[in-house]
This record gives sequence, structure tokens and C-alpha cells, in this order.
Amino acid sequence: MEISSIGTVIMAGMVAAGCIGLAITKNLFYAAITLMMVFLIVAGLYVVWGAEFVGISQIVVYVGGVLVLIVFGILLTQRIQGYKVETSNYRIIPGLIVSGAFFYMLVNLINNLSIGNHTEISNEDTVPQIGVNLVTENILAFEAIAILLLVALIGASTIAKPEKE
Amino acid sequence: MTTEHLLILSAFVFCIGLFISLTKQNSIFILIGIELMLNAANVNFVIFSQNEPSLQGQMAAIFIMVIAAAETAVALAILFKIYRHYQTSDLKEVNELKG
Repeated sequence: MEISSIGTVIMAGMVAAGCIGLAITKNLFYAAITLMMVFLIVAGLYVVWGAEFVGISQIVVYVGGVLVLIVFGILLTQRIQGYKVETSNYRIIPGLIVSGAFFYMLVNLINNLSIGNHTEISNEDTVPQIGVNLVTENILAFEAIAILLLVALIGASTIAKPEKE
Repeated sequence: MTTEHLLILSAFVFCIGLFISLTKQNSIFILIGIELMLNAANVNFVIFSQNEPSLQGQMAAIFIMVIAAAETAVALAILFKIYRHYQTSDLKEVNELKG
């Protein structure tokens, strides 16, 4: 067993443990920090799998952007003083049934797949290739997503703006 | 670890996200579940784009990331507005339209 394979096993276990922690915790703040841990380890997994650029974007966009937004959301919408940042569960049994059945279905599907065993990494130096792809093959998607992000961010700040009295 | 094991890991992350979105009462927690599900889809894309010279899987993963960021920004703005109107982020108490 080589080093990267052992690392993959450890990181996969940590991702699974973090997800279970997310499902059972009731404290919103702990959930945000656990989500950060899961995202960071997934970024590490991307790097091990030879997708360095996606891993770095994961850290920049998810950990740096999305999680900061979520923490801001928690701070703005919870009454911190004299009030616990806790939430409760409801519909646990139906939720367990639905997600468990979906997981069972997916595992059955994956077991019936015949995928070649491609775990070794052959893509060397993917970053220049991604840059070339972004401005040649995927230029339309790139431009469209830039405009979408601009519209979404301006729309978000317009929605959140306080109304005039 | 074979490809199947990694696919099962991403399926597990997706199902945990589904469970969180279904059972939690707080709206921000539901947003966290949605982020987990998007991330599981990304993991699948990156797994399948190993050993693929044109890297289309990784491109899809990058675009999904940007869409997730846009979605979070809009969703948090809406939640903030709901909080200002109802003084709660508990979805059980948000039960009237234009109230």
C-alpha cells in the first residue's frame, strides 16, 4: 500500500466522521466549523487525486467564501445573548428512511457498475490545461457563469438592503 | 481504495446532506445540507475525471463551485429578510405568505 493510498483512506474516514458529526450536532456554530473541516479535507482529497486547481478553488471559494457567508448568517440571524445557538430536529424517522433508502439505492447502483480500476494518476500538471480549456472550449460557460455570479451578488445585496421607512 | 469505494463515500456525503436538509429546523442548517450535497456531486466529477485527458470533469466541478457560491449568497439574503420580518429563523414558524 503506497503513501497516497493510506492518506486517501484516512481522509475518507475523516470526511465520513465529519458528516456524521454534522448530522447529529445541534449547535449551529459547531456545524459551521465541522463543515469547514469537511471542505478542507475534501480539498486535500482533490489534490491527492491529481486535481490541484479544483482543490485550491475549493479552499478559496468554499472555505473562504461560502463558510464566511454562513458564519455571518448565523451571527446575524440568531439572538446570541441569553439564547443558545441551538436547533432541534424534527421528522427524524421519515428523514432517516428517505436518506437511508436513497443511500441503499446508490450503493446498489455503484456495486452493479463496471468501472475500470483507474485509481492511479496520469494527468500531470493539469493547471495549464484547465486554463486553456477555460478560454477555448468552455468560453461560453465561463462568460455565462461570470454574469450569473455578478447578477446573483448584486441581487443578494439588493434583497438584503433595509427598506426605507 | 478502488473507485467504487470513493463513489460510495460521495454517496454517503450526499445522503447525509439530504438527511440534514430534511430533518433540521433551522434554515441555515438546511443551507449547510445543500452545500454538502453540491460538494458530493463535485467529488464524483473529480473522481471520474482522473485519467481523462480533456479534464471535462474538473471543469464541471469548477462551474458547480461558482454556482454554489451564488446560491449561498442569494439564499442567505432571503433568510436575512425572513429573519427581519418574523424575528426567527425557525422554519416551523414561517408559515404565512405576505403576512
